[in-house]
Amino acid sequence: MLKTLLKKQMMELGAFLYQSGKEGKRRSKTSTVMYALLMVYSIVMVGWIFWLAADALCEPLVSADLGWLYFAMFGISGTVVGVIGSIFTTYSGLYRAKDNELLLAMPVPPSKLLFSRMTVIYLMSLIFTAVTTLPAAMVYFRTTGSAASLAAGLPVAAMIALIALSLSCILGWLIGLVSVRIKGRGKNAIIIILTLAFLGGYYYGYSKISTYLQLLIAGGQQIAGTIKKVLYPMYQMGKASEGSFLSLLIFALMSAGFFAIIYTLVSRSFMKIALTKTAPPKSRYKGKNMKKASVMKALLRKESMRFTGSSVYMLNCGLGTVMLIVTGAAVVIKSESLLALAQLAEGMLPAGTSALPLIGAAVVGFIASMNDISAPSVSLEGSSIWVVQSAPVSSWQILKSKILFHCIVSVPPALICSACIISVIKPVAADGILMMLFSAAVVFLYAVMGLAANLKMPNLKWSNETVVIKQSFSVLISLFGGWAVIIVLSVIYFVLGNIVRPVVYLACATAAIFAAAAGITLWIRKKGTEIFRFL
Amino acid sequence: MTLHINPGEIYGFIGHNGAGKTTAIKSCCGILPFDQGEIFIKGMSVKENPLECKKVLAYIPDNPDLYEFMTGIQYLNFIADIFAVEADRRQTLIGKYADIFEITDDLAQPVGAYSHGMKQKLAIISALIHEPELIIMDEPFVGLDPKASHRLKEIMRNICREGGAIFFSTHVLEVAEKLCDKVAIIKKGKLIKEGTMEEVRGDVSLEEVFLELEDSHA
Repeated sequence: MLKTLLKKQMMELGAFLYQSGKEGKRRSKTSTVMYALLMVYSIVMVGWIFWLAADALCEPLVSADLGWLYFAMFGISGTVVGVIGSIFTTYSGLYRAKDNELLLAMPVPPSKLLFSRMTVIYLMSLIFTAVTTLPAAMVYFRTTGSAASLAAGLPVAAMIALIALSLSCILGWLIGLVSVRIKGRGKNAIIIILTLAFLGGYYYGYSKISTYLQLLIAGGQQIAGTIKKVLYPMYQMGKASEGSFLSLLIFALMSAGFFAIIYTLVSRSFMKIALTKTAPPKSRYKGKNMKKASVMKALLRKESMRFTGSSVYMLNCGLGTVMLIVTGAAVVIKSESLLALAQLAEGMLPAGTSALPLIGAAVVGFIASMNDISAPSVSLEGSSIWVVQSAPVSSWQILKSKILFHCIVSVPPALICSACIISVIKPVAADGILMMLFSAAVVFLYAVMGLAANLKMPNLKWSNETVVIKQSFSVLISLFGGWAVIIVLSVIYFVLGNIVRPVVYLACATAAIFAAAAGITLWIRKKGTEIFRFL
Repeated sequence: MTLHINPGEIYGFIGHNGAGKTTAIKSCCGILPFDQGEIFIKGMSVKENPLECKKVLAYIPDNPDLYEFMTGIQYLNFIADIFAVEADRRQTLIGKYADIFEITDDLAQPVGAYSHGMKQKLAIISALIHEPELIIMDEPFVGLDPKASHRLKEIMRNICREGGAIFFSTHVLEVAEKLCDKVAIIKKGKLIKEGTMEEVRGDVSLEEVFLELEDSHA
């Protein structure tokens, strides 16, 4: 029974690799290999970021004989990444899976169904955790040459993933309880507020990392003593990562015990939460005067309702809007220290007149890439795609509404963020205008890039929207593509910076981005519309 | 396969599972490409003028997957906007059909909270509010309660009396027999019998004809 359930879960998890989301048919081998390579690339990119962090931390902490603390820090990061990466999958995968009723109507023990679903979430957590902790183990091996620590890397990651799974189960369970008690759009608001508070706390901690690092090096032994007392499992985790077999055993027992407690807790309420329909309170329709709207307005309203109707969609694809506004505010509040930091960065750039507008534009470009609303928008049409396909609207109108909605949500905060940066760095008028234009251009590019990727790789066969919002390649391409655009532009500036003035470079970059966006828009209009028409 | 559906006709489309009914229906609505042949609606080619064709037809799929993030009234307003239905007219028609199918009180609920039958009713209302000249329906009676089925049949007859046309697929041969002016039976994508109900049925029941044809074309 469990084997069958696990097989079904694994097939669902890996379906995107070998099955076309468009037609449900089997992919070609080349296509499967390409998808697998893209996935590996994405994992390596994230791992590389943690490698850089490990590279900076390893040497000072190992010198202070605090190797275990180094691992404990990455263990905590891995846990946080694992939880963030799997929390919504946990909720939707455990409690809102479309086949819950189907399977629970069969002689399937709920505990086995729960276990099989948890196993898949565990594997996802393991990927997120390993991407964080394995680079740390590799850097440690390179620094100390300890083969035992390298060998302990994977088992420790497996245990941390178990802790991350347990924590995301608690959070998923809490979301489930909230969902059962609070209904309608109020539920979305609460989920968003809680998640933003969590992320806010995380980013605040992250922004203080340099302060913590200094404290860590200055008072390492004292902090280590505190962690030993307060976060004893993490101490054991650190020692296990250094190669202590006994600590590995203790840590394994602790994480397995923790998971067993959580599993028991969750399994008790699983049936109730999984089978409770979260229909909003019944309100009787009272006829109101109706108004006629244009086709484009109707399509935009539809996109807006789809976006605001899903906390998963808003949080995963619209977080950039919040981050842009928060960054803008932070730039104004912390103007002096940030200006000093930016001037320091400016000093590292090729010689020339002020390059601060370039740095500002790059910052906005990076943060704006967190908004990938258009990237899953075609897939999200799902089985209801016939509604627009059979309506007398052109595919271009439908796709244009998706691009426009992305821009409506993303351009104003990008402009606000740019305006805040401009108010602090006070560039000349031309630079200021170019910064604003760059912000708008880059958002436009991300919108069409995400949509084009989704048209090439749609998935209309999903049973859970989280699959297309969090795990689809179009979203990954949109996110990493956004980063790549800014990285490529930065690299080109490093090469050409000595011969091109920043203002000229910014103008050229803006024009190039507009041109690229226009090119992709043309492709969407010519080819994309044909793809969409017969999806 | 060659079929002609004239104004004022209710045309039944019958075939076993996988015979190609849904494929043919989707092609007629311009949402499935076809390489060979032609489909004309009011003399306009679905291939050449898909949007003009879609303006005069309504499609109701076999599975009413609607926008679950909208309420019933929001969905109907969305469809009315897409078909440019005037405010007064939509108010009248939504009120009329929502009352007929007894879902007026539920229009403020999200579609996600609707039962299969209620979604089917909403899909039918959304097809009716822009007063199409041709309605193409894939298994329209599945999920409807007896009262709603009866009312849908009345509406179908009224539409045809007023010069509209209806093309629908069904597995319920008794319904087809009582409701349709013409009927077509297909198997493996090919038309095996077509004509007025009397021509197809002769002196026996439609069920007997259907089973006999199934066996003889096996």
